[in-house]
Amino acid sequence: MSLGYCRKALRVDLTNQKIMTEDLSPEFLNGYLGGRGLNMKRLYDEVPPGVDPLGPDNKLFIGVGPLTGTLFPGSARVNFSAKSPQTGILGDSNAGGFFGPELKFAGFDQVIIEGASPRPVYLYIKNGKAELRSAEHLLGRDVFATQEGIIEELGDTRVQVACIGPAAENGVRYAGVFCNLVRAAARTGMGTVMASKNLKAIAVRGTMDLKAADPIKFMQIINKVDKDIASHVEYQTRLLLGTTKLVHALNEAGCLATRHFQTGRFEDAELVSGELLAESYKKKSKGCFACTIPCSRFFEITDGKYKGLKSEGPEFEGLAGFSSRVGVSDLGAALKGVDLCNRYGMDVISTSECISFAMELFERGIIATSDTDGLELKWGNSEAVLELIEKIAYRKGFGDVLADGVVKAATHIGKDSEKYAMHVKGLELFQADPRGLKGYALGVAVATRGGDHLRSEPSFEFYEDPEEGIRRFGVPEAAFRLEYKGKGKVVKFYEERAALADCLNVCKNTLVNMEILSFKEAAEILNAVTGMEFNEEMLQKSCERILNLERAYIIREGIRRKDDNLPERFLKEPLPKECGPSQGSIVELESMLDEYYLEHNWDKETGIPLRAKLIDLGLHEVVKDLEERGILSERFTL
Amino acid sequence: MHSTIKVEYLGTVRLLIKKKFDIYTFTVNPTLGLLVQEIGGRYGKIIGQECKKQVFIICEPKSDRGIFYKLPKDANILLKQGSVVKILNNITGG
Amino acid sequence: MFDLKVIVEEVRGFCDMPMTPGDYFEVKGGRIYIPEGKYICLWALQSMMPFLPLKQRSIAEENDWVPYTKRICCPDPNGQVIYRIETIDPVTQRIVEKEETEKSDIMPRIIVDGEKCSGCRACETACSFEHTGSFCGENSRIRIEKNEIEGKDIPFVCRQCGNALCIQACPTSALSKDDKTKAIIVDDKSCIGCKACASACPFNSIHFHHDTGKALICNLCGGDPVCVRRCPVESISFGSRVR
Repeated sequence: MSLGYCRKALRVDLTNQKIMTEDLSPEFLNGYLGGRGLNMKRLYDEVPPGVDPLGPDNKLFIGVGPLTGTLFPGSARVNFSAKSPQTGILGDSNAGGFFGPELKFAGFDQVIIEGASPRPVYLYIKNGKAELRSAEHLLGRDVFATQEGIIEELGDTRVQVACIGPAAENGVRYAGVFCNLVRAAARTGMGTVMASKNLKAIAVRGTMDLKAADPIKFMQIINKVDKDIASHVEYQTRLLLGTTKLVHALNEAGCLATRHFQTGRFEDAELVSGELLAESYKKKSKGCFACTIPCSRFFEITDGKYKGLKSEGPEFEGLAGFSSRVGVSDLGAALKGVDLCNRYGMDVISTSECISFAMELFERGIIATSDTDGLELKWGNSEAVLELIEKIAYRKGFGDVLADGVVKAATHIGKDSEKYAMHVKGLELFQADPRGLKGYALGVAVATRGGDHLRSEPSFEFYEDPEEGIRRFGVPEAAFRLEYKGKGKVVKFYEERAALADCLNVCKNTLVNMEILSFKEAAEILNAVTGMEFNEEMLQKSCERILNLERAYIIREGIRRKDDNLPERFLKEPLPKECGPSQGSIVELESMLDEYYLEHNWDKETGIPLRAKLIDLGLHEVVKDLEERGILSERFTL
Repeated sequence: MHSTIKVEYLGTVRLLIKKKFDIYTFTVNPTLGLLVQEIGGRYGKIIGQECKKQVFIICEPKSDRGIFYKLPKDANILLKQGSVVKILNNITGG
Repeated sequence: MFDLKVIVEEVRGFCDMPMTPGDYFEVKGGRIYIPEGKYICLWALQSMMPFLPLKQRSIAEENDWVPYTKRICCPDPNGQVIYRIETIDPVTQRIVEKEETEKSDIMPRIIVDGEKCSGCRACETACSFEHTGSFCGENSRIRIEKNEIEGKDIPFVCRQCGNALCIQACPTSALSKDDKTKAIIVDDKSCIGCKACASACPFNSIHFHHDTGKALICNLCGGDPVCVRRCPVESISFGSRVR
């Protein structure tokens, strides 16, 4: 029986086909909370610089949090972390669905995968035990067929599967790990790492008890959380549209990534909007484990060329990725694009960036049909987009060039194409134009896993409430998306909220965007579940500790202030006239960075955390490590 | 003299009332607050409440640029004859 | 003379036709019209046949019970398919409404709408937590069967059948009906975990505790089921009639 934590980790040595369990100490759990935190601590300690992300020395960590699997709304998340083959730095991605909770019911907070298996295998975890089973027969299968095959083989429909598709097997560097078919831990190439270890899937089944130390107190807090969610301004929107609400919302604001960020307004946004999807093909709402605000949907295309296609999803990132970003006005084609990525097991953001990048080069005459296997990569050519997705997944022809990510593709293509590569630290950017969202721009520039919006999601900048801006972040500008002042503070605040969500392994829609569950309430519910003693300050400090540990990890890998940057276009090219309120915007990053480092107590010139900060957070071993490597010099004693 | 305002529904409100637009007619130029009251009157209290949580983009005649407003702070903004008002959900993260 | 529209309103039991809620046929004059590609259960039809001409009459007489009666139950006791007969004015095509006076004596129970289920399994978690203190849905009395490829999520929970086959099947008389709620109650002391009840249940709605092996049957939480309170999409509701 577990109370919040199972206090156990499973260590799987694939090279020697050995499986061990380890106890997790209360200090480890207290200090790093769960999921992302536990994984980051392991990553720092067990994967030193110089490790080849696709070699046997890299390790894949799978972590869940103390609320995963409980009745807490959206307690569904699971983190997959490793050194990223896409960026060469920190890799971490999380997914919803049902895999995370099942892992808890099977008795584990964390799974560590190390080495590489001589033969293709999948890992089957059941009730505190695990075994490696042959995956020869699953090789080459797409995500859907893999999950189906495993469930059939194990003869239990309640088995939860996290698996990779052909893209990962073929070495596409932005392949993800997919749970429940479409619930993807897609970013930073965690699927590619899994493939490099010859591990096709992880199946898990658990029937063990997971309880709360104080069930009455727990339910009291849950009741309060339920009320907060149901009475929230965004409740109806999240329920009816989920993240697909962003197509129109961003478009009207003039910052919907259109034709590879050449503009922020897509004239055909209505044709690919979440509203149209809800009115036409949506059959019903779908939710992750125990969610009371289910934001996903099951759809079936009932007309046109893609008639009969049915699946769960998509999120905004996929929907806009295969529509506005590539100039496609056909909802069916966009859904098909997302579906292909799900089946092949690729990240929709990176895939759509690579394709839209190639399209821009094609439109500018930098590449031609002779480079693209004859594909006319013109804006809106949905057939070429879909064909290119397949080419990437199987590394065929021009797809092979794009399969390593946009940075390597630009290097391969040359001709000054790097300036069109929309990435930060090697990770491709999502479909909101940072020029119209200054807080997001900063968040993406500094995110510890590279160009990613989910490390912070500073939603406060949309509230446009100057008094709240002053009250919470000291300046009225903090509440306005086109302003700069206060954004360092805002981003840091949301980074900590995001870290909290990723450590408790609950949904960011509620915890970050809707700001459900204060740190104080989080401490209370953790105490009610685990019977341990958390408090508000400890929790907040743990989140900061995890952020600083991540920062230290990427610093150790060579990241400095100069890398906390954005693609040139966002710094120099103003958003064009049609972008309405965002017209003329660029990002002036430097002043925001100064404020951000100051908030974090990091060195302004290099972006390295100050020694005093690290010590204050109890990261003594990190201080020692960075000192020994000559990174933390005397200058940082302030 | 009558004042007609075209209201385009996007996002949550559009899905709740299952309609893309309406034309509202007033005897004088209405404020944004009054318009929302009218919408509530036409579609019921729940819709009226939901509208208050949304963002309003007001596009005046002969202007191609909409300006964003929110309630309650912009309730007294006057709407000119022939304006188009879009109602949609706030951006916030995804 | 009225036209009639006969609609399957609810399937309380297991209909092997199957008839599904929403299926219908129309009676216009002396003709029966069935929508193209659809069918109607012969047994249900023959049992309601004599009633149809009665319902077509448009004379209003005091004490005439016919206008006030509009539901018919299929004679198959396992099916319990409820048909609603609507009388329609052939000119205006409007439904002619007469308030039903019969009183329902069906006790409220959990009613499932599988089309709406989001598949989140919050009901399982809530049920298990309420009755066992554990979040793991393995000991829940309600289960969601999922087919992720087809997007099907179907809640399976006891329907509190009037003619409960599980009670009849139990060799140790461990199952009984609660006097107040009419919910089926398992006496853990008598239950030997033989699974005879589960074999008898037409709805796959009886499960077994993973440690003790005893039967788990929904007891309606004494009249305020936690699963229903937890459902975010109203896929399960507590009541006596499908709305």
